[in-house]
Amino acid sequence: MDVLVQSLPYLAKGALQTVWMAVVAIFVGSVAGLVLGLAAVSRFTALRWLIDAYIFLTRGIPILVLMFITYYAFPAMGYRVSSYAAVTVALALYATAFYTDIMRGCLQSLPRGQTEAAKSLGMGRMSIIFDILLPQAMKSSLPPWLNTSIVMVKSTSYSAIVGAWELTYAAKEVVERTLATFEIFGAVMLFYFAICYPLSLLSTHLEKKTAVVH
Amino acid sequence: MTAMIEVSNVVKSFGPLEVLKGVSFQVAQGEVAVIIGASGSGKSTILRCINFLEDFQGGGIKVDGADVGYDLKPDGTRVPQSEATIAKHRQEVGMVFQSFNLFPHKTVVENVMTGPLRAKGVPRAEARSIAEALLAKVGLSAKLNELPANLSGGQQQRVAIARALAMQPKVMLFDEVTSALDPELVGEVLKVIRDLAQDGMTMILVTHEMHFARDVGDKLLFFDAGRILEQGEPKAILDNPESERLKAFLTRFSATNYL
Amino acid sequence: MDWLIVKLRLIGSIYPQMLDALGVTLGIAALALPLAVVLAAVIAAVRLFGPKPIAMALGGWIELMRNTPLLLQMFLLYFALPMLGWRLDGFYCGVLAIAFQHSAFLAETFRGAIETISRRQWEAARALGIRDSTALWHLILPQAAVKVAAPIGNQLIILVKDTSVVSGIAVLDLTLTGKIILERNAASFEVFIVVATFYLALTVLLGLLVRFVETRTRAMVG
Repeated sequence: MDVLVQSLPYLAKGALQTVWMAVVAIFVGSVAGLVLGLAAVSRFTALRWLIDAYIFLTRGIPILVLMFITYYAFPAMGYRVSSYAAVTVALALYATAFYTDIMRGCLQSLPRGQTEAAKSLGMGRMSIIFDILLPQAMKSSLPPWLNTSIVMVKSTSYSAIVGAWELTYAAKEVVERTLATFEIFGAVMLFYFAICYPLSLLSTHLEKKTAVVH
Repeated sequence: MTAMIEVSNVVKSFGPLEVLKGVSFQVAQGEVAVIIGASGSGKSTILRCINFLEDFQGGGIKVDGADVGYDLKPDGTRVPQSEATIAKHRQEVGMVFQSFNLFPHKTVVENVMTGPLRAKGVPRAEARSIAEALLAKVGLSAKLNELPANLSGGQQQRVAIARALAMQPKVMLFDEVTSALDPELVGEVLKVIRDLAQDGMTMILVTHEMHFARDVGDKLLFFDAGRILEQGEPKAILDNPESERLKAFLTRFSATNYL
Repeated sequence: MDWLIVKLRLIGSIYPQMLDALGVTLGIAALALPLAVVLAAVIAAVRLFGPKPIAMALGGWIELMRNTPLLLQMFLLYFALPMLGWRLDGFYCGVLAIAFQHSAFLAETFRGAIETISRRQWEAARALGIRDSTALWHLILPQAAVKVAAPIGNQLIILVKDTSVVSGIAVLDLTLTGKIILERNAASFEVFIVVATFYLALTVLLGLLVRFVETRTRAMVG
C-alpha cells in the first residue's frame, strides 16, 4: 500500500494526461462527427461516398494500428510532432469516424414524415435541418455517444504501446520498478472505472427512458 | 372564374410503376372535394403532387393560377422551379397527414408556431398569438404546453390541423387523416374539418369516411388504378354508382361504414 | 513509377514475416473466441438461474471488465501470473485477457437473448406439459443459440482488432511485427499501411461472413 501512496503523484500526472487526450479526442471527434454526419446525409453523392469510405477504413483497423500510422507518418512527411500529438490525432480520427456514423444513423432513422411535414409548411432546407431534424437526432444520439466516449477513454491506454506517456504507461513503469502489481494496476483500473462506469450508467438510463416513451 | 386548384393530365411514375395515368380535375374556391379509392389507386399521390412532395412526369398543376413544381412554357416544355419557389408555394397549401407528423421535441404551441416562425419569419410574439388562437379554435387551449406524446391521437391530429392553418393557406389537403385513429376519436377531428368547410376553406380530402363525403363534400372523385373513374356530386355517385369498379368498391365499404 | 516498385519490393520482402504474424493474430483470435463464448454462456447461465449473490458478483465483474482498458487487464495478467507461480507465455496471456474481456460483453448479449425469447415460448411449452428443464434445453437454448450467432460474429470482428493489443506484451502479432520491421529496416510508415490492409481484409471477410449468417438466421429468429 505504501508503494501506491508514494506513486500517487506520479500516477496522477499520468491520469491528467489520459484525461486530456480523451477530452481532446472526444471534443474534436464530436464536432467533426456532427458536421460530417450532416454531410453524410446530404444530396452530394461524392461527399457521402467519401465519408462512407473514411468510416469504413478507420473502423476496419485497430486503433493501435492507426496510432502507429500517425506516429510514424508525421516524421516521414517532414513534421516533427510530439508523440502526444500523433497519438491524439489518431484518437481524434477514430472518434470522428464513430461519431459520424452515430450522427448519420440518428439522422437517417428519423421518420420521413418529419421532413414532409416541415416541407409542407414551406420551411427551407436549412430550417428543416436545424430546427426539426438536428434536435431530434442529437437527443437520440446521446446513448451511443456516451458509449463511444467510454471506448475513447479506454483507447487512450494504447498510447502506452506506441510510446506516449500517460496513465497506463506510468502504471507499467511503476509496476516494473516496484513489482507492486495488484496495488498499482488495481488502483489505475479503478480510476478508469470511476470515469467510464458513470457514463455507462447514464447511457443505460437514457436508453430506458426513450424506450418507455415509444 | 378560374378554379383554385387545377389538375391537368398529371402523369406520375415511381420507377417502372405508373401510379397516375393522366388525372384531371378542378376544385373551385370554397369547394370541398373528396377523393375515394382503393390503396394504390393514386389518391394520396395526387394530393402529394399538389404541394409537390412528389414530382410528376407529365401534365400540370396550378394552385390559384400559379404553376406548381414546374413552370410551363408556352411551347409546352417545363422548367423545374427553384427550391425557394416551391417552398413559397407550399406556404399556400396546408397539408395534414395520416400519421400526424407532429414534431415530438416541441410542445403543442411550439408545433403550431413553427410554420409562421421558421417559414415566414413572423416575430415570435405574433406567431404565438396566432398559434394560441388556432388552438382555441380546435378546442385545445388546455394543452398548449404539452408534448405531443402526451396527447391522444385525435388531439394530435387537431394540433396538426392547427399547425397547417397557422400558415393561412388558400387550400387544405387532408390525407386519410382519420385512418390511424381509434374510432371514438374520429368524430372530434371530423368536426374541426366540417367547421373549416363551413368557413369556406377550399379543401381536398382523401378519406374512407363515406358519410362525411356525403354530408360535407361538394364533389366526389373516385380513383381507380391511376385514373378518375367517376366524378360528380357525392350523393348522386354514392347512391347510383355507374362503373362496376365503384360498385365493387362501395360494397366492400358498406360493411365497415359506420354511420 | 519506380516509387511504386520500391514500395512493392518492400512489401515483397516483409511478406513472409507478415504471414507468420498473421498466423499469430489468427491463432489468438481462434483460441480467444471459443473461450469467450463458453465463459459468456456460463456467466449468463449463472446470472439467469444461479444464486443471487453470485449473480450480482458476476454483474460487478462484467462492469469492471467493460469499463477498464483491455491493455491494463492484459498487463495485470502478464505481471501478476508469474508472481502467483504461473509462467505463462505472452501469447496465452493475451488469449486469456481477450477472452475475459469479450466474455463480459457476450454474457450480457446471451442473457438478453434468452430473456427476450418471449415468455410465450415458455408458456406454450408448459401448456403442452413439457418440463421447464426440458423446455430450456430443447426449445429455448436452440433458439437463443441461433439468435446470438450474428452478435457473436460481430464480436469476433472487434476481437480480431483487439488482438493487436498483445503488442504491448511482446507477442509477435501483425502489429508488433510491423513495428519491428519498421525499426529494423528504418522503413517508413508504409509498413503499417500493409499491416492495416491485413486487418482490413480480415474485417471485410468476417463482415461478409456475419452478413451471411444474419440472412440465414433471420427466419429462425423469433
